Amino acid sequence: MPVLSFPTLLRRWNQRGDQPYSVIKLFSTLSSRELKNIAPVLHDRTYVEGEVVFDEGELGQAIYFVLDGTVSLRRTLADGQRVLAHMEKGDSFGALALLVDEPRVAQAVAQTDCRLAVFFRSDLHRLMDTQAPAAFKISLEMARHLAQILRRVALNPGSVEI
Amino acid sequence: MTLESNPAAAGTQSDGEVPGTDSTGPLGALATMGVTCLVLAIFQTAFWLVVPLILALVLYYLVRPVHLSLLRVGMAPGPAAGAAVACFSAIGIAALATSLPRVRTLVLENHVAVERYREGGAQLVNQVVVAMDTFVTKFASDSLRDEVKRAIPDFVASLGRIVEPSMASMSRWLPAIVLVPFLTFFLLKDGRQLKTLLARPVPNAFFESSLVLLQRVDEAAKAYFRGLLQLTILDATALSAGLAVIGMPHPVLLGVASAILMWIPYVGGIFAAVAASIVAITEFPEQPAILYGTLAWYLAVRWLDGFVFMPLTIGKSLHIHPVVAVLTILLAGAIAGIPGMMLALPVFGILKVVFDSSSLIVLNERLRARHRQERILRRRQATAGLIGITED
Repeated sequence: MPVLSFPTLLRRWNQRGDQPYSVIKLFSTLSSRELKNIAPVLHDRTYVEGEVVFDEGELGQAIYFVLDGTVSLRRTLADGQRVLAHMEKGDSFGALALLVDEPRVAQAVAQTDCRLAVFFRSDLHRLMDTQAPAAFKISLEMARHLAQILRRVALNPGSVEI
Repeated sequence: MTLESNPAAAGTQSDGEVPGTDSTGPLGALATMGVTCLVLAIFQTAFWLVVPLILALVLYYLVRPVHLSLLRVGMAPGPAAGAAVACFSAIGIAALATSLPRVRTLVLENHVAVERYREGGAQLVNQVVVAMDTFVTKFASDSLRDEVKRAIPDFVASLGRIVEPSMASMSRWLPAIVLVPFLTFFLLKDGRQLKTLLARPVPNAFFESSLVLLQRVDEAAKAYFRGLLQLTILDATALSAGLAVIGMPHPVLLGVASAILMWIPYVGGIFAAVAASIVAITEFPEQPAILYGTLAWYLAVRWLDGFVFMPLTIGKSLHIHPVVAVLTILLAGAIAGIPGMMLALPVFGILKVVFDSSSLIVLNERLRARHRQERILRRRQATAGLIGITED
């Protein structure tokens, strides 16, 4: 019978691969236990190719994570509709809805058949109340994500970012 | 499908809203009252679950801060819920164990005390009858006097017709009280998963709006039970303070017991006042002023409870107009008796939230169009490559 070394035990302790939501980049800094605790409040949804996930102008209260497939973000501009970005496995979109009560700035459409996880603002608030370290890590990742967008917009003033 | 064939212009969410469906208007309030009565009439057969469910919800909102504190220090949701419920159950059992021997002594061994209160009750009834007789003889005609004399036994009989079935129902509810800690435990442990479970069958188009609606329903229920706790504290404080000033024995115990009895709208207040009057006449047989003071104070608190405390706590927490709240309670009482009265306001509050939000979900043209699109796309995918089956 093989003897498990201390580093192997530690590695197994921190193993995140078997967690269904370990692919989500925003949760990359969460421990295995924190991921397990957050799993019950995430909603698994499946979308077919061409289906609208949410509309531009819609009031939202949730962030979406791509678990499988691709989602495109589109926006109506003066010169017509433009695809702003393609979200792949692990990416998140609609993050602003977690922070502010304002309409969605883009439309999200399933580019392929896809599986998404949805996380609501009220659940983030509860997480802040009960599992502050996990909520802090998520908030920090979200701040980094928004900072990257700000930086890109600052470097390319004419671009449209999401 | 391309975007051109399904335009999603900014602001379309609000386009589907239907004006006039807000239940804060008079027509909306009337419609909500009607549906509330209908719901209560339909669910009458399951009322034996009402008391344990209400107690479980009250306990849930009472225990929740402890549960959240335990989660904050790193406990998993299951053990935290178990520990919180066990802690409150232990307190309840300890209180019961402490009080049971005293009650047992009072009932089984101390016959004198029981007899004293029984005689006090009889004396109260006698005094009421004598007072009525004197009053009626002095001011009324013979025919009216006879009418009143006939009306008293009728009134007692009709009170019996209300009280006896209610007592029988309560005896059926008592075994269900054992469910309270279990219901509370699962509400604490799986409350979040319950939301996920409820949202699962909702179509994608309506999903996000439905979750927001569920959140509002939860807030409405929380507001009601928080209001109920505040109301109990206000009633208990007012009654205890008044009874202490009057000079009654055990004012806090009497005040708290009466405030809990007042959870049963209208009739609960009468039971509490009668019990306090029996104590007053037994303890102070030679001082009728104490009996009158107690009765007057109960009447005053009952008035305050119905017209000031309840609209301020429960009515305000559910944003229900005081007139609508009183009318709904009366109508629900006529349809479903005492349990109907107890359930009237929470059911009204939840239905009000559902109606207010329904225009944003079910009647929203854009969401309905998206749902149709989803069904078409799924059908097209399911029938792809099958000969003889049309796509749409």
